[in-house]
Formats: sequence, C-alpha cells, structure tokens
Amino acid sequence: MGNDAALLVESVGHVFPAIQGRGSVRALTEVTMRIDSGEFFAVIGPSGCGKSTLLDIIAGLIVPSEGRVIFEGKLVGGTVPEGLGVVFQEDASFPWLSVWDNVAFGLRGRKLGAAEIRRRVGDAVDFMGLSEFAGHRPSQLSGGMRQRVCLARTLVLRPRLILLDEPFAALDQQTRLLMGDEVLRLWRQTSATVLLITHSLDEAAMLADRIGVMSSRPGHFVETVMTGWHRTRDSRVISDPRFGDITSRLWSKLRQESLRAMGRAATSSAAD
Amino acid sequence: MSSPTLASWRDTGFVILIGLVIWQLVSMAVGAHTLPPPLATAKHIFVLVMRPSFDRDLANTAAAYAVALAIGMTGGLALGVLFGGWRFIGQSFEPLMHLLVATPKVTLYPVILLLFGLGDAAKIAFGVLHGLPPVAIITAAAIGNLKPVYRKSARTLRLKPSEFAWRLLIPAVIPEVLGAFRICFAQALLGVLVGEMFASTNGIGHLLMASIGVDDNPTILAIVVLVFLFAGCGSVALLAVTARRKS
Repeated sequence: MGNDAALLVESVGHVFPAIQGRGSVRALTEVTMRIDSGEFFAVIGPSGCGKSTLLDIIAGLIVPSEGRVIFEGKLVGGTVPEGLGVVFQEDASFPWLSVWDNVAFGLRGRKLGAAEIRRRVGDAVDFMGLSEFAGHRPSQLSGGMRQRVCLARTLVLRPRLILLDEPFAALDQQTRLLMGDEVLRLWRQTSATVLLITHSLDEAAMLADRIGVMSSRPGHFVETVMTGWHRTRDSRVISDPRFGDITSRLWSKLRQESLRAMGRAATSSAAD
Repeated sequence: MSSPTLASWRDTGFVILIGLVIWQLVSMAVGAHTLPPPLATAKHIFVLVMRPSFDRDLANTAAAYAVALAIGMTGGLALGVLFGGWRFIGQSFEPLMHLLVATPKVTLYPVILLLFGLGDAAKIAFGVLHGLPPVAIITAAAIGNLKPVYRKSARTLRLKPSEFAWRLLIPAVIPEVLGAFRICFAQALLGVLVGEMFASTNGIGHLLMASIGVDDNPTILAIVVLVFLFAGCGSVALLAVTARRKS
C-alpha cells in the first residue's frame, strides 16, 4: 500500500430532492475516507444505506449536496474523470456487439491507432479468458462471462481507479469466488486502486485490504477494518482462521446497522 | 441452408397448404361464384395483372404507399426521438398519439377530404395517419426504457452526446424500431388502400371498391390475395432483417 492518496472523500453528504409527493431523502452524511494509491478498499453496509450513491458521487455521476471528492488531486464534480473506470452490478454488455467489439467500445472514438486498439483489446480479452469467445454475442455467454466482458471493457481503458458496484451480486457463490480471483489478479497486474461496493461480507473480507462499514441511512462510516492479507492472496483465504475473525467483526457491526435499517434496533436489544 | 431454416420453410409451406385446402373446401361449400377457388383465383390474378389499367392502378398505389411509408417511418422516428428524449415533450404530446391510435381512422375521413381533397394527397394522409403513430409511440417507449446502466456506462466511458446517440442509443433501440417499422409497413398499406377506397379515383383500393360495386368476386379475391402476398412478403423481409441483427 502506498502513501499517496488516490482518492479523498471529504465530509460528503447527499440529499435526494422530493419528487412526486415523496419527501426528500438524505442518503449520506459526513462521509469521509481516504484510499491510498494501489489499495483495495471495500465498502459494506445495510441495504439502502447509500453505498451506490457514494460510488456514483465518487465516479462523478452525481454531484454531492455537501462535501467534495478529490481524485488524484483534482476535484470530481459532474463529469467522470479520466483514469476512472466503473463496473456495475447490472449487465452492461451491449447485446448488439460481439465480445471483441464490446471490449473495444470505449477505445473507439479516442485518438488511438487501429493496431493499438487491437493490441489492447487482445490483451484484455486474453487476460479475462475470453479469447475463445471473442466473436460471440453476450447473449451466448453466461452471467459471469458477461461481467468479465464488462471488466475487460473497463480494463482496456487502463483506469487508475476501478470502482466496482456489486459486480458479482447476480452470480452464484462459486462463480463469485472465481470472479473474485480474477479481480485480485487484475488488481495486482494493473496496480490500480480498487473500490468495491458490496453487501457480501465474505467478498469484502476476501478481496479488500481495508473494509469500511457504513451505517444505516443516512450512511456514514462507523468502522474501518484492516484485513492484513498479503497482496498475492486469492479465494483460498476463506479457509484461513483469520477470515472468520474478520467476517465476525464485520457482522457484529453490520448487524446493529442492518437492524436499525429495518427499524428493529430496540426490539433486538431487548431480546439480546 | 441450416436445418432449422429448412424446418421453418417446411412448416410455413404446410400452413399455406392447409390454408389452400380449407379455401378449396369452403369454396365448394358456398359455391365458386361467391368464393372462387384457389386455382381459379390464381388464373384471375394472371388475367388481372395483364390488364394495362392494372399497371396504372398499381403504380398509383405504389407511389402513394411509398410516400406514406417514408413519411410514416421518418416522421414517426423523429417524433419518437423527440418524445422519448425530452420527457416534457413526451408527456405533453404522446397522449395525442395514443388517442390517434385508438381512434378509428375512418371517422377522420371527412376531415381528410376537407383538408386534402379527392386525390393522392388524401390517400397519402390516410397512410401516414395509420403508419406514423405506432412508430412514434414505440420509438419513444424504446428510448424511455433504455437500460439506465447503459446511460451510466456511456458517462463512465466518457462518450460525447453524439457518440451516445450513434453508438449506443440507436443500436440499442433498433430492434424495437424495426418492429415498429413492420407495423408501419402494414398500417400504411391499410391506410392508403382505405384512402383509395373512399377518397380516390384510382389505385388498387379504388379498383377493389369498383369491383365490390359490380359484384366482381374473382377480382375482389384476386386483389385480396395480391395484397396479402405483398404484406406477407414485406413483413417476412423485415422479420429477416431483425433476425439477422440478433444472430
């Protein structure tokens, strides 16, 4: 982990304005975090705590109501900064394009030669194990492979900060573990900084260097947990005794917040 | 040719054969004068298309149909983009399109006649009235229903608005738009023929109306079969284009 801050989030808050008779909603309050260059940071929190809103703000898709986000020393606001890539939870592959053209999509229209595009796409497709399927359409691939296409599409742009918004949420457990390995491999080889938003304790504990636990809405960080894994880790860390300790610690904090989010804090405390 | 395609052709041929057998049986039951049988109709089609006056009627209908189709498709597409792309405009004007679709167009016949008189303009207007609204409505819906993650992806891939339109929005909505064009293809033809039946002095629709007037059943049936074949072939061709895009 380096000492340079790749990303600074300072006192960010966000309020969604009232629409169609429903009152305004405060999604985030006083969110402050720092992610160092090359670090893998995960964010977990109860449903509806504003995790995805935080990611959208960091990506420049939403302008926060309060506070500021600084990526590589520059203020983020309203537009997606250069050097930042996002992989979403939903399948964002384009069904009318082949795997190859999906991966090349973001490169076309940039001032790059055809040979350079071919080289970068070829590398990304190889890296994600999609070479055999380069001519296939996304509809011919499994959900996990389609997410790999989306990862490859982000990878070719050589982002220095990769934002992952629950990218494996729709996948089965085995595929999630294997995809986790792919992401770790990608993170090691590219030296990019990664911010993962997830609701899975296991995923966060396996992948991240540090995990930020968010409160119920309005979301803010209530704890940060260091995992202490070596950079060369993979999905086999789930059999390490420390893995259980990490997930237990995360769950003890997250349980309170999840109950609060469900409006049951008082009942639960009484029962405990 | 792959075996699924062969099977598809075989099934289609089988359905046509069944249809012809039923037609023959019904013709025998009600009498050849009321419903001429398939073979007699085929012969009459040949006689009909050999008539010089038929060429003129066909040319008139084809010209009006081509114009109505072009206006219906391009106009509908433009309005659909407007309604789908700008929510305020869509909310204000899209209900009018729905109203137009729900209204039996024949009730607008006097208005069309007042506006365009008896002639080509009236039947083109009828064709456009039938063909344009479905294209506008379906295109607007396709744009409005674009997966939100595509819009987010476009922003994270830092596409310019023009790139978003050409490289993402248009390819994403093309399947729905092609479906709308298929409806337009059939509806515009219906509109032009209806226009010719009520508000024209030439064309296939007018020929059909004239044949009804003199109880010329073989000609009526021959025209119906020709229109059916044309509409069917056009629809199959557009379906093939859609299928090719998907494969």
